[in-house]
Amino acid sequence: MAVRDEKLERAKKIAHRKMDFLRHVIIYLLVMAVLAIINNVSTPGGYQWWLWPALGWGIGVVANFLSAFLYAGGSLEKRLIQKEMEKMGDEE
Amino acid sequence: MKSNRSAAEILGIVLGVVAIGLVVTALVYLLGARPFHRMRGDWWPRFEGHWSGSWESEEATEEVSQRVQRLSVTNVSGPVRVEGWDRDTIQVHYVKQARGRQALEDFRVEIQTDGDSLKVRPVYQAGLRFGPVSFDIKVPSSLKEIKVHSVSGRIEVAGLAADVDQELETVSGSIQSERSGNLRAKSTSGAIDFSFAGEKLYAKSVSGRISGKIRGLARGGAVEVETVSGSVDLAAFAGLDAELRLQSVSGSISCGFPLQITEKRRNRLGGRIGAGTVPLSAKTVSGSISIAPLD
Repeated sequence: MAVRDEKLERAKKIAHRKMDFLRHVIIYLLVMAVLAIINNVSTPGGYQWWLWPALGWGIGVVANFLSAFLYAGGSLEKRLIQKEMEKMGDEE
Repeated sequence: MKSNRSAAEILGIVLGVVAIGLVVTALVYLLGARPFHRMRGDWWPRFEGHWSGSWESEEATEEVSQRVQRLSVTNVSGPVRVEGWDRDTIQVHYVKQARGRQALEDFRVEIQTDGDSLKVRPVYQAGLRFGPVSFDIKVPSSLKEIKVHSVSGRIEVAGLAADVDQELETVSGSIQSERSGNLRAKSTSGAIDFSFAGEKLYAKSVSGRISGKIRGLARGGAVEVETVSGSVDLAAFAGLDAELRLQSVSGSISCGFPLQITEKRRNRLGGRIGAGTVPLSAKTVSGSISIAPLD
């Protein structure tokens, strides 16, 4: 029962991170789209200044993406856990 | 093999990849690298911006035959040199620069007469496209007043009559005035060098040395010289008649004139030269102060 609860907690945490990321990336893309429109309507073909916030904020979004999908319960962590369990099985 | 990913997860991964793509694009654009030249079409934002493309320049010379008494130059980036000559006309020679042809065409230099004034300034379109412009302006040496305001770039004034009033201000750059009447020189980061003969002198720098010659000082005038980080070196005409107040927080103070001392402390020197008619103050926080007779 304790193992099941632990699994449920972990699953909740991972799902929570993924949903957080989804919200974050949608807001990011919407805001950037608005800034790109303002930039190109006010100065058509001009200097693309909106790429500065796209870069700055984007670095945070990418970090969030990596943490949600690759690390926290994502494929990388899954594979590492599996490998560790395999090792333990060999030792037994 | 059947994927067990939910739609939300797939959407998250797709949007995450889109965000990565956007970040890489932003990085490539902002750094000015242009590996997308071949693949981009008309829909792609133009990369010939301020930060990319090779430097292009355009120079022009314009003559203003209308007689003016005042000159006002406003510049954002680039040196400004104003020089007196023996003609009655004004000649404005400028070189404007920008990265890419489009950026260069996006701004122009406006030369406009307004009554007895001539105004010269670069006019930029909205956005962050501030291409540097260097000005070389020839003016009648008997002009009454010159005002130069710049953000980044040195200011140099030479060859004018001794009674031309000057207001020279820059945020970053040195100021040099070969000869002036009333002078107001202000630089945030840069040295100031002047030769003055007038009623009012005000020279201020935050980070920079101030050196100058006071060739004449009218009664009722005032001299105020101030810097935060830098020394003050003044040389004045032999008949100077001034109430002196010199102050340096960390530096030496010296006066080469016979002085009737009224105040002497470690970082302050006050006194009268002659009858002490005109107030003359010089201040610095970090640097020495010296005033001596002209050779």
